[in-house]
Amino acid sequence: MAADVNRNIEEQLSAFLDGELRKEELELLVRRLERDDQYRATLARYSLIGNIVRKDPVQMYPKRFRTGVMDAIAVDSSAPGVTEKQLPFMAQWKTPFVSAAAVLLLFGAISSVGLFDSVTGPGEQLRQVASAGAPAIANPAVSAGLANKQREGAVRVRQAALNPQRLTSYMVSHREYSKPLHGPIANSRIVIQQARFEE
Amino acid sequence: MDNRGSDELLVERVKAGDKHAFDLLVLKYQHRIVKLIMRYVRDPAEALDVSQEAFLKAYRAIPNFRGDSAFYTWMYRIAINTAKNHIVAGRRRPLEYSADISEPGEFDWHTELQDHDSPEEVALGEELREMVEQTLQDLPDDLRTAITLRELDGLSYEEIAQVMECPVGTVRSRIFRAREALDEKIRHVMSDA
Repeated sequence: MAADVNRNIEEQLSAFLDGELRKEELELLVRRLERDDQYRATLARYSLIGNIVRKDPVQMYPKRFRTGVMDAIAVDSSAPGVTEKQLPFMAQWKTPFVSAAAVLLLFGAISSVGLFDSVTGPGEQLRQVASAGAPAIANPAVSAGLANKQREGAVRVRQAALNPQRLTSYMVSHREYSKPLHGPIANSRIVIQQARFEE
Repeated sequence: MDNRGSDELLVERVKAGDKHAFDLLVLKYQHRIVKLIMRYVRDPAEALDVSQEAFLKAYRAIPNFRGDSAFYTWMYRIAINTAKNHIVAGRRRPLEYSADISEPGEFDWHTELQDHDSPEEVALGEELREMVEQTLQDLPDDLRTAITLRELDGLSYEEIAQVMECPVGTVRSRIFRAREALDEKIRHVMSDA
């Protein structure tokens, strides 16, 4: 059974070499060739056989040649057009806008979290308790101590809001700046926002 | 699907970022391109370098390939230009040639094994030639005719089917069986194919 499958694939390789493979077979075969070096070698031998039959020059080690070409392609940075698909006109404009909107939303979220916490955090709670239910404190020293506690509380809240563990790095798209790389993050880079608090 | 159709599909895949598809195009056409460039570049080792350069140029330019001509015709022009540029850059004289090489397929040169190969490679090449020629002679008539019409005369499967008065599927099978028999002989020799 496996031998039959293998033979069928080899027949497809033969037809592929002659440009006679049906389209539906071609898709499958190309995918198979991508992952199976054995079939590539078979294809190369079929090609070599053709050369010998035609009395063409025999290149004994075609794999070296191909490897050389593919290695050159792998390190060639001036071949961006192949991997970078041209986006439709609207998409070209849409992508930076979406990215910018995402960044603005992110900053907005961080800011709003800080603001929210500073209103309802321990420092503010202390201030509210002091001003609402408690009797007025006549002693200035006690009053100053309370104020210090309020300020420290507020600082802790703000620092918590800007805690690096929470969200300080994110990815943004920068098609206009990034080098044309490959893969899903080809046009993205990581931005790290250092948490900083100035009293 | 004809040769052009299958190449177009591979080209589309390359344009979509599939480097393996380009590897297949290299595999398919490397012998022809090297043979072509050897008519321009005297030194065979240089010819191999120029051939690699031609493929690299083709890869870079493939986003601009519109498919007005067949991939091989387009690749052929790139190879010729690369060879000519190499000659101009190095002030080297091209090999003398008399065949019309302005278009692919219009020349018929039978180049012998190149003398740049090591003695082992030359011996191996000779061994392969003898092996293939002998096996070809030993093949059943229908297989030998099919592979010869394909490889030597360059006929399509459809044309071979007309000549041999059999279905196209039978032609495909016969050509494969001929290659299979030849491959069986050379497989153990060609471990680095």
